[in-house]
Amino acid sequence: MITAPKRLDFQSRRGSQFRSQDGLMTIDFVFAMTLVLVFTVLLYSFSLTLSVVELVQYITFSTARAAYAAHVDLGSQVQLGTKKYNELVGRRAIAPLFKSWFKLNGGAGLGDWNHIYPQRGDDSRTFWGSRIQFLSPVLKFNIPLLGSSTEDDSPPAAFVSSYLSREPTSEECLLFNAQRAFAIKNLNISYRLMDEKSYFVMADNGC
Amino acid sequence: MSKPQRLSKACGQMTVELILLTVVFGGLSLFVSRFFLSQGIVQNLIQAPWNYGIAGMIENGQWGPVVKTHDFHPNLMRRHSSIKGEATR
Repeated sequence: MITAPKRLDFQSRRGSQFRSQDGLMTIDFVFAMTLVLVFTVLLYSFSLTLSVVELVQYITFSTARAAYAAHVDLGSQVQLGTKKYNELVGRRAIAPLFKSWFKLNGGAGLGDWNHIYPQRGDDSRTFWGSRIQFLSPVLKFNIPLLGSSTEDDSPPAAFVSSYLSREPTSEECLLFNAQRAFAIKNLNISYRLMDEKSYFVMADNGC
Repeated sequence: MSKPQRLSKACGQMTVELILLTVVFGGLSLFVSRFFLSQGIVQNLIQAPWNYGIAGMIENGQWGPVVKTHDFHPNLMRRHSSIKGEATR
């Protein structure tokens, strides 16, 4: 009668230990969770960034709108716009966003941006408003062994802007009216006989 | 001639196998890591779509790099304003 060779003691013990598949699911779960977590973080970072871009878009619009209305002088218009910008960025609900995850460069960014959009033969100053550089450090991270998400140290950035132009200031209005007499005189050579002292500055709706 | 009893034991075989597997997986990890770094795969997930699409859309309303899409910004469309009473061109 042939009998199976007797298993050595360590073979029977360890064999059963390594044949067990109890931990496979745990290992699969760890790998899958890592992948899912990485892609979830990426997805949420992008979603949040795009949402905050919309938020910044509104901030630029509101800033430009606050600076739009006529005022005593240009400085006062800019001051009003900047005040609005600081008020919006400093709001308790959104201020934490701009402390670490996102950054805004250039303050309210109010000014004349017509040089960015040159118009052939058109000297109107249409593109006056707010232009802010938006940076998204939340998209800048380093995955160990796999590298950085950005090419250099700077996070992804883009300019967000709103150009609403602006109304003339009192100062500009008065200056324009004062210069009107000279403009009238230059229309025709016969007008040059006009006595400048007889010219009375009168704005249609006031300055 | 029988082997000495010390050499016939298989007790350390698993340790040797584990060291070999560690070396293989370590090498494989390094290879994958260098491949990711050289190909900039993580950058392609973030920086590339930002530079070649999103930034252009945010700044100029067009998918593409900012510099290339600037010329297509609606602000550059030809328009007419008659601030000096001139006729339409």
